Amino acid sequence: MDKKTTILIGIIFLIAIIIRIFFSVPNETFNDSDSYYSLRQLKSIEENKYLLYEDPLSFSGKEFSFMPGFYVLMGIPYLFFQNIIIIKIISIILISLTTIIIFLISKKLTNNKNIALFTSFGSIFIPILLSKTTNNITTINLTIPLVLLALYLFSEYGKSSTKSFLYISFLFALALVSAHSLIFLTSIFMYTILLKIEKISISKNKQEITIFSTIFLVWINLIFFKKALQSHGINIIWQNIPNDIVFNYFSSLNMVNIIFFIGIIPFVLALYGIYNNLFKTKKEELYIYAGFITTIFFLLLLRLVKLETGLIYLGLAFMIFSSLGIKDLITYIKKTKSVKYIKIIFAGIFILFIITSIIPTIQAINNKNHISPETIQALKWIKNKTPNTSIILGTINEGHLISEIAERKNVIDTNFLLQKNINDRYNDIELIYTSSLAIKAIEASNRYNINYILFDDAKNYYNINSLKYKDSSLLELVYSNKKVDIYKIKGRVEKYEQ
Amino acid sequence: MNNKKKENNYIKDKEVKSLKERFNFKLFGIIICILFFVSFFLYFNLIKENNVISTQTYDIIRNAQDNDMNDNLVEKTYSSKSYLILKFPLKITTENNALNFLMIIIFIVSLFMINKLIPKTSILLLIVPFTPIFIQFLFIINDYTFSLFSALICVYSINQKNKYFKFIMSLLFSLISFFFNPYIGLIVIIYIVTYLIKNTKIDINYKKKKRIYFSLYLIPILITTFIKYETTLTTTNSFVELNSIYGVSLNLILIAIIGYNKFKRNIYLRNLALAGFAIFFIDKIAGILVLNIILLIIVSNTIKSIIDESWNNINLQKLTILLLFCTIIFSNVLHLSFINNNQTDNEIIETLKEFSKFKASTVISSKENGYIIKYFSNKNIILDSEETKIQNYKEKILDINNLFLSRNIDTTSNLLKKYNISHIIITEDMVKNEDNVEKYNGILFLIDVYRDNFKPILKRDKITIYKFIKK
Repeated sequence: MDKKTTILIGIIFLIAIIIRIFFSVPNETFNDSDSYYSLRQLKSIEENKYLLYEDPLSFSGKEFSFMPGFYVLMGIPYLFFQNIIIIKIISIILISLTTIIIFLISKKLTNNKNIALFTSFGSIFIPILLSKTTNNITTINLTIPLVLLALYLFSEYGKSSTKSFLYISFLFALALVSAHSLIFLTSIFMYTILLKIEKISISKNKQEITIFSTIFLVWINLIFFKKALQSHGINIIWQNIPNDIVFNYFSSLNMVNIIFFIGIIPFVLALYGIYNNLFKTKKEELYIYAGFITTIFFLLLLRLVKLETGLIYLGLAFMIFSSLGIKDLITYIKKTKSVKYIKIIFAGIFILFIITSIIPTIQAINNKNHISPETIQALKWIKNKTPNTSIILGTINEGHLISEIAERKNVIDTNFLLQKNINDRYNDIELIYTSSLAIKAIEASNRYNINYILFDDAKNYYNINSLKYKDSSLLELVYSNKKVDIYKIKGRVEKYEQ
Repeated sequence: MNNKKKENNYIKDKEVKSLKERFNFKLFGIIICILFFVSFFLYFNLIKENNVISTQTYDIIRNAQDNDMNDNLVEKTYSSKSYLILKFPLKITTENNALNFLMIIIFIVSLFMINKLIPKTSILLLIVPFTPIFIQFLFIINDYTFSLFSALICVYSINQKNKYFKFIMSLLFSLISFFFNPYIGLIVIIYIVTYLIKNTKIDINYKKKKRIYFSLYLIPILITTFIKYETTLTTTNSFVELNSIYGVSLNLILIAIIGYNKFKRNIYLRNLALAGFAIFFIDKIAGILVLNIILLIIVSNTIKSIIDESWNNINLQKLTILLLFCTIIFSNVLHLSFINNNQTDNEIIETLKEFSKFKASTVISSKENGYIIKYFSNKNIILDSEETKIQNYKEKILDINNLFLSRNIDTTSNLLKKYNISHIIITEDMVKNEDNVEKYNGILFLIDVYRDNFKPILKRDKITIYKFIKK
């Protein structure tokens, strides 16, 4: 790689970091509740020197099943600096590495550094990627670059001993960071299937590394998720997410939304690239990424992956294929009389890209619900004024906030694995928030020994203005500010059978 | 040009050869041996004094000791035939010694038989004791054990050279296998027929062969369709990784898939696997045991082929082999640990022995505790795990479910009186196991609320025996 290209890719990498820092660092809070869960893990490392595998606060006390890599990696700087901003910046650097990896992949596929630079720049502005990975500290920030890197190094495996060694090292890292390593594994399988369909023989190196990767990744995941597997059986592939949430995730999914989340220009260019390259030329390397894109499609179709995560991967895969689209477009224009206007055409495409990707991205980040100061105030009130053993009801999005800021037991959060009867619990919570009858709601809340009801996010989540039974004698409003109400449950309603 | 190419090929060949020579298992063999010694140490340290895993074994011992075929403590006829094998050792030694003796004999002989079925590589023989099939052989004595054991001897015999030995032994052991479990016996017959078709000197044309194979496939399918269909097919009960005593290993399945291509044309494995799958739906345990044997054969062949093949990256090959051994050993040591934890706790056994001195009409507990209550306390019970063999079992199951779930003291009292129940045994598993909490919700609530009606007479950490006082 020449010096100029290195400087340019460095600049793109810096732009990715600066944009994220601009939207992250000034905020004292995070954009999503999962970051508060990560924060609890980091605090556990700081205080107890071990990860939180048994949490007395989540779901009022439950076990966790997760890969420790990300928290250990973040825990080390947190031990030294104990500063959230530094952790935010490290997290930003990690996700921004995606630009460099996209550059490497695109350059490999197109053999054209300018196209690779453009794709790398474009990858900063994938709307769903930027909005979901800004101002947070979650495993996805490390998982995404690792999955892409593993794909790239898999395609390069056997070409040099360094690359082979790097592949195995990053495979280890990916396996220890996230169960998304199984997405990578499925992509490899899909790649071999596609090669078989196209009657392309798979190289010996690839056969060897596929056998190794399969055994290793399955084994590691079996070890870490054994308990969850025993608890949920085959249903573990749906991650024990309540049925209603899965349904709501995907009910809003349509083609327009997908294009909006991915960006219209990368989408169109990628389709052009896929059509021209996959169906007309039979280049083995391409099938690795085709396997990846097919896997993501299937996972989304079968609802086996969270919608947001699936769309992020899909956006990146489309961005990779858009580089091929650009290359083919250039080749095509060069053959026509429009060759004189090639610069104008690409300037037009660039402007369109800015309008359709950058502007929606910035809007998406601005529209993202930050945790409001009122919510933080209310949670601090709970921390200071309620007994330590209190159980606080909040929506799924508020669970980790209750555990981290209020330091109290929650009833539900986003760690569904290893929780029995999750659908009953989810439905009971919905009943408590939406019921018109106090007796029914209180009876349901008694099942989970709830002491206080936090009424904040429920307005959006259940589309209600207030608790319909708030004037009941079984309930007392103990705290209220502009946005948040906190109710204390005063009575018990026991239901004895027969 | 041609000479240069030849030279290059020669250099390449030489490199591959030298890699193969370097890959002589010296250091690698030492690592694996250390791994095995550590695992064996764990293996035998995990085994507690009490070596009975499946509580059904207690019922088989009672059957062997009784001279009556009827189980008077639960109104049923003994169904197991394993007592015939246990009768003799029980006459000369204690229960524990008899079981140990049988386990060791079965283990060693099976290892020898399996050795004839898998490739002759000593390192492979090391992993065999860590596969689910051997863990199940070593710890559980029942009809399945003897049936499969006879099946292995039959398969071994049929592959011998001596005609008469071959004929007599395979016939004898296939009958024994059939006697203990008809489904495993059926699989043995399928194996024999496949062997005859493949090795017979009589010329059978392709069409005839096809027809015979088709009818072979048809038998288990017809049985599955018409005889009995178990609807309790759940994933949690079929894999050792999901804590099932009888189960196939997910790791072994994965390795078998990797090596599947090489064995898909093996007619023996194909026929047996299909029959095994079909049997799985009729008699799950029999199906699992057969599939485990097939898996073991495919896996050992796959591992051997990975060891024998020359890989481009020798370090990756070593790492893959090490990983393969690790996956098999660790997954099954965990299985062993689970099986070990599944043994009946000594505290429960001692309390039940103490309870045998008390006077009691009938005792109620979970059906899983049925065998041990009968064996150690010698008391009448209503249900044990073989509930379908018990007289009027449908009515009894309904009543007992009602008794465990009801929170109404009158309903429970009436049911307790109906079956003349004097004592209730509550074990730790009934209270703490999340799956059971709902099941025994009613009776636990009543015991807690109506303390005058339920007086604890023996109270330990893991078991409490209550006396029911009629009012």
